[in-house]
Amino acid sequence: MSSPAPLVEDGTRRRALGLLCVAGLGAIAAAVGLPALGFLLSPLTRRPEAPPPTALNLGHVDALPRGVPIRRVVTASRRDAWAREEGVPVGAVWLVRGDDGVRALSATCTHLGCAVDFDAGKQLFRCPCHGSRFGLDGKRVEESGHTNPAPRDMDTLDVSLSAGSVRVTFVRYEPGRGERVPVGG
Amino acid sequence: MPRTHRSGRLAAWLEERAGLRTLWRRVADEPIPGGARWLYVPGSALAVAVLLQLVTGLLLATSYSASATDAWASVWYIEHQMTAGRVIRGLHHFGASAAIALMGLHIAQTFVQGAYRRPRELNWILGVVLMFLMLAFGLTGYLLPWDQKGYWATQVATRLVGTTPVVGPALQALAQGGDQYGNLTLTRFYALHALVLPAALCTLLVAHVALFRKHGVTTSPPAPRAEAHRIEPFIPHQLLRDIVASAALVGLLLALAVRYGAPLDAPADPASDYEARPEWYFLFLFQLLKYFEGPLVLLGTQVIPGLGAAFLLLVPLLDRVRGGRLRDRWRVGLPLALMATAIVALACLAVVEDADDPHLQASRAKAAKEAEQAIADAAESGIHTSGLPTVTLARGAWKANGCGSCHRKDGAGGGYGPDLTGFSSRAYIRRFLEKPHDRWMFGPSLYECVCAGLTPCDPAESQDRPLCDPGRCESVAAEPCAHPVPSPFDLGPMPAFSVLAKDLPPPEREAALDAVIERVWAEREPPDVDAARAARGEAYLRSLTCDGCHRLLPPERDAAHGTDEDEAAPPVWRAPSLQGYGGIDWFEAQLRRPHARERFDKGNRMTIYKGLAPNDVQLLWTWLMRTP
Repeated sequence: MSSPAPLVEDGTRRRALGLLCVAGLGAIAAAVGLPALGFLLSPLTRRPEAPPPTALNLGHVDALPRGVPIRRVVTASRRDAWAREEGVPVGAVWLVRGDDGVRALSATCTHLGCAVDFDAGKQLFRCPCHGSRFGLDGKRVEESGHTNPAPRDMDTLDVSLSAGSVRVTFVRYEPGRGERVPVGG
Repeated sequence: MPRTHRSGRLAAWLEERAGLRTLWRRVADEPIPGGARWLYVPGSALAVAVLLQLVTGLLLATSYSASATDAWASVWYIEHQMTAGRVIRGLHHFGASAAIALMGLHIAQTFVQGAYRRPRELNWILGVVLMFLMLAFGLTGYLLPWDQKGYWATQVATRLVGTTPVVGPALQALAQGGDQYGNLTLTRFYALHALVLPAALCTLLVAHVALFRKHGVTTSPPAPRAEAHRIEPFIPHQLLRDIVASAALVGLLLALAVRYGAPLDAPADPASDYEARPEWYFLFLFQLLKYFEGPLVLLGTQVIPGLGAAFLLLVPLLDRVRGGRLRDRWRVGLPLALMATAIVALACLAVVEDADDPHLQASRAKAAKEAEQAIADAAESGIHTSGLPTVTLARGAWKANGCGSCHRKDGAGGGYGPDLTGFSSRAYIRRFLEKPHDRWMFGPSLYECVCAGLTPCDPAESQDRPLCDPGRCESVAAEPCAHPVPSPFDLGPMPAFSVLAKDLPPPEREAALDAVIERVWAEREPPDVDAARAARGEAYLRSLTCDGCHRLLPPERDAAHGTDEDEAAPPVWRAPSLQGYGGIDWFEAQLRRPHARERFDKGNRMTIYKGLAPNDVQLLWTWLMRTP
């Protein structure tokens, strides 16, 4: 009979087994936790789903009165997770026809993304949420007695005229920043 | 050290308020009479499987959408688009089967060890109720992907509920949220599966474990004599065994999830002839139904399963024998053993009968093919708002409207009209301009045949043969038409580009072709137009007098024909308008008014699709315009 291995003192043995338990639990947690984390963070790792911006036809230039901003809804194709839709409203722009041509301003407020309204009385674009104010040229306007929380001017969008139709390249920009950064860009 | 001192103070603070340390000591030091044993592992493995279901279910709930139009789509998205989606869903799918299997083992073991006997009767009853909950999880979860399998298999279950005397129809309507399957069925099943059942399960599970800890493990069969008086604490001795078993379980489930993934059939189709089979743990009930007919059906659907369930529930109350040994408990043991045997035998019979059924095999093969197609379609086009992949719907509209009896796409379809593969793409425009009378372009169409001196025949008679000989059409295409039969268009069929541009030196001819293609391509307003090339194309369209026949260039610059407003000299178009070519308006006009003067005129044989649903126009357009 070979001599038995010396019994490990019980406290030490219990501690060693305890460490084994922790290691085992850690392995199980990692095996499930890593895919779980990947799943939860999936929206961060996916490629941007929006198609590259294209020039969209927003009607004939003659339909725009001079000096009066007109709000136009932009319809385009949209990818929303699994769904892909054609011809759905994706945003709105303000078109201002002046002597120097047509200006397109994103209707999304640069402060926190509310929809900017036009105040015909004051001839100002005004955000109904926190009172950002912009002129017809889209520039921030300071009014005495009012704060203007907008961090930058309204976002100007590229406009071109093709055979009389107004074509606007619709791009969404991140609100709340001093500089223009395309959403998801 | 101050640091230790501080953490010690925090622990003491917590201990005083929450008693965490005491709780931990109670769990960790719980004495296990007879020492840790592998025998006690199945119960904890079952608990781990249930926990895994809770975790993976919570994750899936962050991306699942319980609606008849979005359920399949969201599950497809989880499975095929999200990071580790396949693993998480696979774990949930195989985890459900593992939980059911471990539950069977746990129940059998509890009975054999007599762990339901006084004072543990209540815990047995709790356990059986938990088992019903687990089966309800399986039933409700099966429907959620809203695929063929879930849709058809679950319908059987709810119809069975409907056969219950008196209250059946009301129960069925309550379960379904109406008189048939739809949005409310999904929202109700989802609420049950993800809210009601988990809440009930967690509550009962806490009670189940608390009662178990109150009474401790049942040391039957008794531990080997040498260890009879040994007492070990739960941690680490028993815990280590539990962890080893759990790791093996999780490893197995991960392997299954990665290797096979959870199945996803084609989206639910109420019009299909899908042959439904339940999950393996319900197969015995499915098989049982085959043996009853007429009023006896109730025996198979309610009475027999109901009696079995009641017997299982009442086992501890029926077992009045004093002796604890298994053979003393035959009065309860024998019926239970018979029940278990019957369940296994019925399930095996179902599998064997299905395996011998060639019709079922064919149906399964068809379903598998449809599932594969749906998944490929979804990957190609995303999901339409109606809940099916856009490509699937467009293919359906193409088929339902008979487009394919004249036109080809992707190598399938008739040959009377142009092959529409890649319609209006640059490659398509090039194909047309190079050989407008090609076998797969306008060659076999009626007016081109007339001009080529060939006798057009009735499509009904000629079946799949083209109306005229493609070789001759091509040879004619090289020269302007000289046939005496007048074409519906004044100038005869469209000459090939090489004929139109024969005065240009060959290298310029190539560049001119590219430029003209770019200009026509620009009509559908794509994002990638080469503006300079398109402008050159516009010049060529003028110099080659293309705009003499086709309306394409904007009226105000179209000096040859005056403007639209100039009513004194209305333009005479001799060929289809190319304004907005490839856009949805152009496409819709072509479908609804193919015989208009601005289109292909009266000589065209294209069917008039005046009443085509706008949605179908949109789908077909989206599908055809997708550049391959």
